[in-house]
Amino acid sequence: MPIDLSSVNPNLLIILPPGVLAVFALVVLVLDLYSQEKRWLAGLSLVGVLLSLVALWFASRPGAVPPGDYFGRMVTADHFTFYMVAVLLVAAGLVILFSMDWVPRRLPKVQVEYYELVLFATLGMMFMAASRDVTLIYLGLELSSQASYILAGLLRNDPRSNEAALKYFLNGALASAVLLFGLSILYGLTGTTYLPEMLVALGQAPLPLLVTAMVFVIAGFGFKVAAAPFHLWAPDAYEGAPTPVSGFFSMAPKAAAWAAVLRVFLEGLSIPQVMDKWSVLYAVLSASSMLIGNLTALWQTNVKRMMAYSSVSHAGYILVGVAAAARAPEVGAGAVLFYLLSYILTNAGIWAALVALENQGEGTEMADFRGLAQRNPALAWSLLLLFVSLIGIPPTVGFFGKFFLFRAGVQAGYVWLAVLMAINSAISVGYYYAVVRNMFFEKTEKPRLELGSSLQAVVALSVLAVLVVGLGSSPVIQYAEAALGLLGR
Amino acid sequence: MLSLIVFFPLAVAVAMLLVPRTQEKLIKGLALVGTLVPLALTLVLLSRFEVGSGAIQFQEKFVWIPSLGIQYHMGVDGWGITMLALSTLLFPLAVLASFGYIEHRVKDYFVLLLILETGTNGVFTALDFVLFYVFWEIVLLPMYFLIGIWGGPRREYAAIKFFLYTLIGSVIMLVGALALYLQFPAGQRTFDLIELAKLTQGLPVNALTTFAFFALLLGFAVKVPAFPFHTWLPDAHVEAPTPISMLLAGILLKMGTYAMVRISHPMLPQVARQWAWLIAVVGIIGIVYAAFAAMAQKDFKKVVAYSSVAHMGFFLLGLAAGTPEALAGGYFETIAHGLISPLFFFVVGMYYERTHTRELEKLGGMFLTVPAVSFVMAFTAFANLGLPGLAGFIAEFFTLVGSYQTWGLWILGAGLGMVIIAAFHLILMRQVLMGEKKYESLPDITPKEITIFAPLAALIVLFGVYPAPVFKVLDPGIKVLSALLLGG
Repeated sequence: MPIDLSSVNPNLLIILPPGVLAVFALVVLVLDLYSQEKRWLAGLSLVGVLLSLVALWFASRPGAVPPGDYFGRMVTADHFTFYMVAVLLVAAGLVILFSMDWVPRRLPKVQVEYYELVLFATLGMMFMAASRDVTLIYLGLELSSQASYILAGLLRNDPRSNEAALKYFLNGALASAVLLFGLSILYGLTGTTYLPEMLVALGQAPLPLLVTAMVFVIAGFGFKVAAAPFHLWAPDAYEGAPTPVSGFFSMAPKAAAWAAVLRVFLEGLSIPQVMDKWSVLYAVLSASSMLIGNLTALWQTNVKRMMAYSSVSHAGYILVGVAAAARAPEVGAGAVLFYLLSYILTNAGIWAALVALENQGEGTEMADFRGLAQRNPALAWSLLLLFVSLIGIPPTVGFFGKFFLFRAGVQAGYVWLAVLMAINSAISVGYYYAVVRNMFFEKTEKPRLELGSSLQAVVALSVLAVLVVGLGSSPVIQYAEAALGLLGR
Repeated sequence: MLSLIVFFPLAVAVAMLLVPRTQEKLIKGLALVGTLVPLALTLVLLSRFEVGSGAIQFQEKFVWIPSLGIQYHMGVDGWGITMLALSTLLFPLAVLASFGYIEHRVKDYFVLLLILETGTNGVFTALDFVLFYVFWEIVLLPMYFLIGIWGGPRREYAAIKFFLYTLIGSVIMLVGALALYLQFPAGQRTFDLIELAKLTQGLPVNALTTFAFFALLLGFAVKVPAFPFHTWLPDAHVEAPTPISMLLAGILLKMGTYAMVRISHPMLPQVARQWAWLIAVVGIIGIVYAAFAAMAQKDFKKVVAYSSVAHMGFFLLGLAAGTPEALAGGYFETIAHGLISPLFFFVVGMYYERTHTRELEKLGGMFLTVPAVSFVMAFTAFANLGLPGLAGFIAEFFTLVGSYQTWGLWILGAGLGMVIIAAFHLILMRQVLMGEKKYESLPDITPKEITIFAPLAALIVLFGVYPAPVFKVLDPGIKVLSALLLGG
């Protein structure tokens, strides 16, 4: 039976997805006090994420919520919001799923806190992606960041985890301050925090001050997305944080930060005088992230750390799209949005494998991957496909993601950046290859590596999605490119 | 039909995954079926192929990513169907050559081999750049593992070198294609190779089209491989197991040559005309340099590998010349080489299986030890050096005649190369076949080996004596391309 929602206030409908998530987060928090057995609460958190996705589906149906701003212009209903919230929820769901076996083993005392923090972080990110007001974007960023700092330090007896949390916190706090400083200059110049109004008012603002603000905002976001040279916290945070948490970091918070970058720069700072400036700045950041990330990753012996540098280089690829968006907004932003999805889908399976190794009491060094093809051929071949996707070789989703970025870059006139990205994809083979070599060409005496059912599900979903979303990318990229089109720019 | 030819091996590969590892007989049977069915289907297509028509035949077109002008577009003309036929012919032979040779991880091996066939068949039939690129890259991974797992002692190095060279070339080629695609206003943009070529032929020669041309050419030249991008080839060949060497030389190199006549040259003939001299120089250097390099090798397989590089030089020379005869000769060279070089690598394998060495010093007097195998070797060597009456001669003859019209006496460089090629083949034969017996008794040729030798040898002789059918199939495409390259 079709459910008629036309009589429901769209204000309620648009915050239904975060609302559902918030309710579940609180319910789980309370139930934690009364239940001895904690495992089912993980399941309940997952149900919350799924129901939130269902709510999103309701809200995003054409006609359910007319495009526009709600809640006093704080929450925006458009394709961009729907797309990003869906991506973030998928990421959160996958993270909860691959943590289910790991958490009871490594964090027996703070099991539910773990899921709580993941849910609250996701909640913050959803608001980051869903708002055109820098106040809410900033609040969302802080909510997700605070939760993330604690997540990084959950292994309380492990000094490395403490180090990771402290580094992440200090750098993150600095980044937030820098970002806030930039945003406050913008507010001072324009007298508004609402991006579309800011755009109109910017025309009269003095250019030097505007550029100063822009540089601060770029630097602040640069920290959050770990673009070189603002990436120095990432390797330590990734290596020291609990493995599923590192996986979470590589997937969700960055995606939300990218969403905020697109919002702020395309809707707030898109007057011609500054557009070219931030475009070039982002292009330079892109080049340095790709090169520094890839070249440093080549020397890593710990896979978590390697994935940190790999994520720096992927931030560089995404920046190609951001830089291009200044000159070709729909194409550039569409490519970025698609790439975020592709990166999350691919990364989920890889981090699941790392979690699986830790579940069996092993580490995440390169050497721990030795002979994985013997120990679990299906996992080894799956990982191979996922690395292929990260490199960007067809027929995987990573290829299509890179393809759209290439297209955006070349269309915006950044041919040199596209060529650099092409070369960097080839460089990245070097370190993914190190893992593949260990998996397939080295021998081991270790017993078979067993994956629990939830980990199997994540790997299978990841592999399936990498193939299906790749070859069937047509509707996704169309939706992503329309994300900005709806705003009446 | 074309889709079936392309995807049937993949479907068999997926089915094979479900077969337990221990059922080796079933796996081998499936591998044969998976490669023989495409061959049979291709023969059916050949019989229905309308010779003399320049049109794309057996087309299949479906919407894939409409907002970007990407389609699932398959189809063949003379260029494509000859390569498709070559590919579908060589795969069953390679499967046959693997029986008794590949003994460990049999299942993995055949699964990868079948995926490889899907990739190569797809490259020769795809008519949309993105689809083409997908198939082009699908070839990469199976080949990497086929060399890396079942290869010789330095297999890992050879495999990753092959992988990196090709990958760098192909991603830059992708940027080049995108640059061309984006030259046109949003409504006209298409990745359809035929449609896009019609548009790009009208572009002026400027920095961007020159960049695009060389970006495309780089991707293809690495695969061919053209001097100076050839260094991955000897390594890959030496380490690869025999059946994979056969495929590498027979089919994978042809992906590059096919792509040049299908993509880079028809799309930007105006740029190609300006830089024809460079391609000719690269071709001639390739011939002479590789011939000398082959002469210096002590490893049988490396000799054959360098001779591949030399022969591909003839293709480049013919392509650069652009006259109908030169194009026909050059492309015929790729077909002839596609028949001869797999046989040659197979010969190396036959000796290796008997003596467990490929070092020329340790071979000798083979005419006395294994006369039938040695006859095959002599036949192949003569075919490879371009003996009249065999396919290689026709190719080189037409290439030189055609190139003379464009390059005049400069082709003497290639002529010199031919002499050196002949010389090192004769030296090779002396070392392997003549001299003292080094082995007392070795088993002579087996029925399996005859089965692989016979069809290839028959085609080499047939095309050497009567090449007309191939030329007839290629003719319309050659006329069009030649008109473009000579400017009209």
